[in-house]
Amino acid sequence: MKSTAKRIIKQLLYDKRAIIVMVLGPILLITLMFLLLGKTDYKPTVALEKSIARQVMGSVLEENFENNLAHNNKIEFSVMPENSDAKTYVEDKKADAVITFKGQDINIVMLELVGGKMTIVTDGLKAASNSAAPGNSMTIKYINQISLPAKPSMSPPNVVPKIALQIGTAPSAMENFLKTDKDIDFISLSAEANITKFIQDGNADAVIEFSTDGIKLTMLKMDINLNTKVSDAIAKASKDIKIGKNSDVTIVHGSTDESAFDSLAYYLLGILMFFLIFLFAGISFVRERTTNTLERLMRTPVSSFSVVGGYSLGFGFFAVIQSILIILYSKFVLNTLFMGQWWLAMLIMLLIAIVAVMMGMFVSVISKSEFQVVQAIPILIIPQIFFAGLIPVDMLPYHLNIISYFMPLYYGGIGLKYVMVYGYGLDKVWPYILTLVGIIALLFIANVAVVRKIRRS
Amino acid sequence: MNIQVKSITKAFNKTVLDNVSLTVGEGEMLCLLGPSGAGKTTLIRCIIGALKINSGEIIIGGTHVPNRKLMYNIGFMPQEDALYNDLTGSSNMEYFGGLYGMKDKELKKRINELLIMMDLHEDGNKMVSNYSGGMKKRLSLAIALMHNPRFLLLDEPTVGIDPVLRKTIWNKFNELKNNGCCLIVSTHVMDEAVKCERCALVYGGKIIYDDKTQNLIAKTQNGSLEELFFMVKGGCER
Repeated sequence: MKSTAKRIIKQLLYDKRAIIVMVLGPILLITLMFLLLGKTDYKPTVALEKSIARQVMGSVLEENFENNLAHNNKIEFSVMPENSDAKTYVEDKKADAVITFKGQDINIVMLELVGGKMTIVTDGLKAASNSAAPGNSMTIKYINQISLPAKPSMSPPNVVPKIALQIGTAPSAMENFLKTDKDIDFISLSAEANITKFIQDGNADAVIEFSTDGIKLTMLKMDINLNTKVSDAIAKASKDIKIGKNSDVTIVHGSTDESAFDSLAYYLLGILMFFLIFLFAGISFVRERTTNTLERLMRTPVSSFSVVGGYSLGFGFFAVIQSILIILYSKFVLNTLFMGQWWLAMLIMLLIAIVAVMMGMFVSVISKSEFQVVQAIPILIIPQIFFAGLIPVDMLPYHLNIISYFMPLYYGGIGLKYVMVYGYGLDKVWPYILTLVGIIALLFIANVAVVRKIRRS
Repeated sequence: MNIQVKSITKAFNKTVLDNVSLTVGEGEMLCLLGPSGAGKTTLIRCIIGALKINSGEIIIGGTHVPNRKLMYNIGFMPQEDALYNDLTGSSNMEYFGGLYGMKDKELKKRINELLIMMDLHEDGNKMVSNYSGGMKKRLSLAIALMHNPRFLLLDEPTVGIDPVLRKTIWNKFNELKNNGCCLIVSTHVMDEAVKCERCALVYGGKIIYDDKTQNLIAKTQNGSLEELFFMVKGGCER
């Protein structure tokens, strides 16, 4: 076992390019993701269709509204010239968004649904309209009316969110409206209940609280689909009710101003690690076949167990180095959101890497050529990428979330998320760690069996 | 201590080895001579246990093949260069030596010895990818000899090796034989077979002659072993 491990390490160490790809590759990719998804100084240009705004709001409110938008330093504000069409204006790239009105409702026209841009625009609008109508009967209907010239690139899945309301705090008309709303699953919550705990236990997706200051919304995690649904429901319910002027979102883990990179970092780290190690391990063993060394290896007294063990140790060595590097780099250089213990994250990363070694090896021993290993990527690897946390699996239709239980990367993804984003300790993460270890053991046994079969052919 | 092959048959889609039997004793070297496609490689792979035989049995040193522990006593050199191109020559030897359970000190000594014997002592630290065809062949042979095996199965070991070195290598084989090793060496070059005391002529999956080389030559008219193949071939066609 030792000889094989030593040989694997030597082979990779001699191969300078492989080392660079293995060590610098993930770091480069994470940095790139960080730059792409991290916080930006980008300011979307927002134009106002002034004439219509004036018609709807009246000149005093409109002036207030316009003034507020102009002073919002997160957007670049302009007034759309009269007689131009909002859709054409956006399509000609003269503005990222045009604010116009449909009846009494604000209507935002955007070229396509881009999460980051939309949030900035709606935030600006919120600020503008809140102070545009001080103490006025302004409702929070601004979030729900977004018309899109192009077809939206992603429609929200048909899942009914569970929304809890603290009984007695809300106006009764609104409470009744929420109770009968078919788009949500309404739960009554006593006024004394601990909201944070209620959500953490998975009893509801969101809790609505009312106070004289306004609506307060509590959710587990920043999630655009869910956010929209809950906001829609509240907006519908509060259409004709006077409420406080502010609505606020509290998120139990993380905050609304964390960047897309922060909320996806754990996932990216796991995927990158998995994919790279899979490739290296996958090609390595099949190369024994194409260079005929496999036959020679099988004619030595080495046992199948120690061949598989040697491979695992050899690549495990690189996996250790890589997981340490990636975690340290993202923690200390990129300053990624890191709520939990870093060593626990590193352990999970390492387990993900060893699963990758085992899967790579398995694909490799049953493949006849390098090309066949590459063929396994779309079939075995890409689905794992989908199920490891890119899509919230509890929103999947047709119980497809069951598939995720067969994806090793799913356990790694959840484990990393719990540690990095939720800050959970070993007491809550151990089932995922144990599952990963189990998967590794199973794959190891499978690999030994296949190698043994090759020997006896 | 001998290699016994008892009427083995091996078929893939068609029969490749048909009822082949031979025995090679201690301190004996057998040369398998035959044109390509005759079944020499298949026979060697069957003997070492890489291929399952359809019938018959193979016993090496009293143990039935296949047997993993038996490999400690067998040196095998496949026809293709089965080497790690991304390692140096000595790393290749070190790895295979390690698989035979050789310890560091013993390994180093043996690697040095074999590098000198194979005329590779200046190239031990070079990457195998930079080796010429002949150098790879010699390295491959050195690996087969690493653990001082009692039984040697060598598939075309001298192809692509220059005549001077080829002679040295054949002398080495004879030396191993005289030390009590049991060798089976395949070749398709008639001249080489002449250097071997005993020859088995393989043709069409059968051993058509198995005798002392001088006896075989005596059967021919002009002293060339090739004639024996023509005789059989002619016989078949007629």
